[in-house]
Amino acid sequence: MKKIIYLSCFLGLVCAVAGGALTIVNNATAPIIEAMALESEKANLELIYPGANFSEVENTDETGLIKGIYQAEGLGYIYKVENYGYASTPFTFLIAFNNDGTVAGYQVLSSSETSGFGSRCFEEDYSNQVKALTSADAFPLLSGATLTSTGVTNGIDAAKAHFNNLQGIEYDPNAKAEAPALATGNPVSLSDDLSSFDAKIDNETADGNLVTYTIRVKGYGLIDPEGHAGESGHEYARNYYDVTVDKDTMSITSVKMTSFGDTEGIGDKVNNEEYLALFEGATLDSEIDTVTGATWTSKSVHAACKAALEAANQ
Amino acid sequence: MSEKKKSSFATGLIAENPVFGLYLGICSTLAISTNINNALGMGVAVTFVLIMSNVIISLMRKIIPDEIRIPVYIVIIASLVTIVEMLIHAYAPSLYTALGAFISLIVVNCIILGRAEAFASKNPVLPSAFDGLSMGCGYTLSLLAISFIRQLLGTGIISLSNPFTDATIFSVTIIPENYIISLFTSQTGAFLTFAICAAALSAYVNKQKKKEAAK
Repeated sequence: MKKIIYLSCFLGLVCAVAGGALTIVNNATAPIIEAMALESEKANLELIYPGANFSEVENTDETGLIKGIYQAEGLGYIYKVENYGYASTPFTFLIAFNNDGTVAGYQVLSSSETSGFGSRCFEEDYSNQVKALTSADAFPLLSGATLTSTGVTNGIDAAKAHFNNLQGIEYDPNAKAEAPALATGNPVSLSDDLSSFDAKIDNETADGNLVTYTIRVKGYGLIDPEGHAGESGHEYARNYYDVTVDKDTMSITSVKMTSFGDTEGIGDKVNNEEYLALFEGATLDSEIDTVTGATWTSKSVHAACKAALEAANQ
Repeated sequence: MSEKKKSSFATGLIAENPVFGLYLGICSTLAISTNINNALGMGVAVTFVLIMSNVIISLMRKIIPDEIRIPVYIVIIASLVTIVEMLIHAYAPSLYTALGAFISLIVVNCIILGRAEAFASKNPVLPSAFDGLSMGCGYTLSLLAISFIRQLLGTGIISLSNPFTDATIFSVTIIPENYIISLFTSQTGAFLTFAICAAALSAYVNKQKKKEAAK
């Protein structure tokens, strides 16, 4: 028993001495390490507040998106945010608020988002939109870059939450920016070959001249470049449409999406009254725009309309 | 320096070279030997820990109870490694980033515990310190040999920079970019280089032994 106590005491003493030595070295090196970390970040921070005096602020963010918070003395706060968009590697950007709440700067540090799609979140148009806002505003999403802009706005929201809390600014954390105007273009003609969408008429109901067809169409998941669609035996989700055709004029009077099977957040932009209204009055040789960033799903509407018009023709 | 010390120093470098002769501490050797800078930094860190742990353990060899000697050694070694880690982090941040977790892993480098148990716990302070220096130099030289070959064949450039300021001391392009073998920058290259170096050393040692036997 005596031996065990002696051994424990000896080991405890060794540990205590070791701990003491570590404390001394840690006290000596910790401030240097901290200053170094700030120094390496400073080049980035200077992009927003040139020549300011920076100090690191305690990061109380619970979302894990904020990687660093820096105060520019007398000017405002800079948040370093890291989040995922579409690419497998995260993007990093700085968002800064002046003390009065206006956005002082928005600066991408690294991003591997798809050029022409997600990358637009870090280009001039979008950053000008961001820079015109304040910490109490909801930040806009970008049509055709939904995943990236969601990642960006989630990051900004985390920064906003911290900043507004710090400055005592009241805001609505659940406010959503207005949906961006639908970008359309690249018209597709109904006379094109749309057979790969495999539009099938499930049902038709007639009301005088007006015939409504219930049509199911393959969406994005089924476009097989080799033409082996369906051979793998998978059942794919489909998009369902109700298309009403006026048999007198052989034109479409209304298109409704009744069920959606394509990619959430991308193809569902097509289910927009404004867009579907473009098909009203369409005949077999009309050309109708597609939704940017949702071309395949848009074309599934074309395929449904074409099938309805052809069926009405017989 | 006495003859005996000289020969024991040479032992640590060649016949009992910790990496190529005793096959100790290979894990970190293979991982960080991508360029000379890392090799040198790691070598110096390990040598420092080796000398310090050998000295401390040798000083305490008469009072450390036999039953708990290994835990005591580990506490001493771990503290020294943590101190080295903090110092590197503070004064040579680029080296800290390059070596990463392998600095902390010096704790489990068997060279250190091996020398503490086999040498420092039985010998007085000075020889122990000397043993640490010799083994540390052996380790550093092995690292340098592997990383020199890997950096040369893998990147074609031999360069050295000051770890405290990141300023390049020298940088020489030896092999044109079209003729480099990038395999050598990968782990496969590390294993190949290690095996060839170990084989070369063991061939040399065997030859020496035969010579001595012939005498």
